[in-house]
Amino acid sequence: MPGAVPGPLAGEDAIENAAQGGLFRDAARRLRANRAARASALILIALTVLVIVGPWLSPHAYDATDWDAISQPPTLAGQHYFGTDPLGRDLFSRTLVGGRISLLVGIAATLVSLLIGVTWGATAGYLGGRADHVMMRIVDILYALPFMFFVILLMVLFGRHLVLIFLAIGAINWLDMARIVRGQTLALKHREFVEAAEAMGASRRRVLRRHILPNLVGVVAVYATLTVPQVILVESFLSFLGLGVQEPMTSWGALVNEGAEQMESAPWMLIFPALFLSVTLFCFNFLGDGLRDALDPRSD
Amino acid sequence: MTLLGVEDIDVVYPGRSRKDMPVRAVDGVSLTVDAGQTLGIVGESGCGKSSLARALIGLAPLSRGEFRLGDSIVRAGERRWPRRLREEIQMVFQDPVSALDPRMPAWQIVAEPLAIHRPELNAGQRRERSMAMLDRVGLTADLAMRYPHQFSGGQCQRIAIARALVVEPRLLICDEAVSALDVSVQAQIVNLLAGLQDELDLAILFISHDLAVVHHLSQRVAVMYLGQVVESGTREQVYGLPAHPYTRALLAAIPDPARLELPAVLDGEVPSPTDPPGGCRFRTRCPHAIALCAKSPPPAVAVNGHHAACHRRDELTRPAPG
Repeated sequence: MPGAVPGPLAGEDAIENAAQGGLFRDAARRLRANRAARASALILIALTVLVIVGPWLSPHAYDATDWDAISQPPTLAGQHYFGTDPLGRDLFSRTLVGGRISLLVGIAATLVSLLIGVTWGATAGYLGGRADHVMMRIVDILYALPFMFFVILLMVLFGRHLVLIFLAIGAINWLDMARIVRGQTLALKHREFVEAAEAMGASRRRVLRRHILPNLVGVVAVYATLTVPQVILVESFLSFLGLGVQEPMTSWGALVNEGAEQMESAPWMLIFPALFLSVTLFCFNFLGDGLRDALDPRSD
Repeated sequence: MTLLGVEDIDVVYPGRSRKDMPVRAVDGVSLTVDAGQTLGIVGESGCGKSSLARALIGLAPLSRGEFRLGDSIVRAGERRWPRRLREEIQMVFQDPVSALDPRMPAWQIVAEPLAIHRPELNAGQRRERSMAMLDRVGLTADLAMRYPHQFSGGQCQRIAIARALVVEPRLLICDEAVSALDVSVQAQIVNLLAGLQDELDLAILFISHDLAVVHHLSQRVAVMYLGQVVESGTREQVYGLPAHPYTRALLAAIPDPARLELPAVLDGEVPSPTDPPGGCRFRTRCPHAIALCAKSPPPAVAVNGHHAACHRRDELTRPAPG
């Protein structure tokens, strides 16, 4: 997704870049030239469109039981293209509906962790000294908090809700992001071009936005695309424990779980959701590599 | 006319922990730079010349003393700098490649000081001025779109010079600005600096360990040792009639193809600035040290504007070899 570029760079910088040919315009050109990344982006867009409109086009509702087709292998005749599960529900519809949840959770939670993690890590690393110390101790404390305990606490306090899943996953994932970004920032801070900017009177905000963040983008883009699959898997784990999405609603993670149980009697229940999941994860990884290369002027 | 006046400044880096001793990198340095002139600062690595430069642009802590440039004064301990100073003093760093942001094309690097100090200019005007400045340092418009890794070291240093001069500073600090370059490229950059200095009436503080380059570019020269200026004067005074044993040792260490014998080299290492020797700091390596040198630090005595801090200056001064 082009949206995986961190948000804080938007605004006047983006306008200036777009108007005059800067890093981001060059990056867009390089990204278009990268075949793997372009194909991945197209597949992801197609998948997104499919999971959004697909369930409407399917002749079966995702939660409707077809009593004539229990645990049926994929057929074109009964219009159960991916087969059905032991409750007679159409797997094609369920896979697409589950894809909505998985992609939504994956992208939204990654964006949350990106936004908080990059801001927090870059600020701590760049300010240094006591601010860094305090900010990173907060990260340590949150790390020490058991994830499950945190999720259960949220569920008890606010009830079960999809937004809470984003929040819970995002709240855990930004910690890794913050640590990675802080380390990179510390290394960048002592480079001479950052000192040069400080010496010419650039504000801290400006140094962060114009010099630190653009140089972090490569690492962040790769890490973000690794986070999306990770988040999708965490969601499936939560669903498995009964803390995520609940029946009859489903997600790719939940479908893969069910499919694994029926692997011998009904392999199609594992194959189709797993295929969607893996293709998505592959595409995100290729796109991440492409983004990193595109954002590095040295790769021309 | 004096442009920059530095009064008795210290740069002290605090130790990281309580056990670490603070490092006094610059210890009581005073110097002046006249408008449109070049002051060369020479000394071995670790003598505090870079710390001095960094203190003047706010990258190193100014622990004591003050300096003024025109009407602006900066005193030790002040956190807020006069904004004009950020414009009037610019610096060119040693490593031409790492001093430029790898993710900005050349024209943007040069336009950045304008974005900070000339908010009245719009993006198009900034770009125009940046291109004009690049042209002035010898980089054509078709190169302006390139990124730093596509340039040679010398070209990168031209970009760095363009970035420093685009806001029309009055003082340019060159901290080992040509040391990382090939000798032939060094000459080009030095000549470029000399040319720009004439055009722009620019004062330059030229820091180097290369005595030949300093000689070529400077009207006045200061020699630093262990955080202190041990000798300063006009180029002719310092190079022609060096008054401090350390200066003589530096000059004698220049290899001379006309003389066959190896250059004289000082014994020993520079003592640690955490614990400098008492009295004269050079006494541990000085071939002429006497008991008095350990007792009291020599005052910097001026003869015809030629300062030197040595107890035995009068008896030892003689023309430099060669």
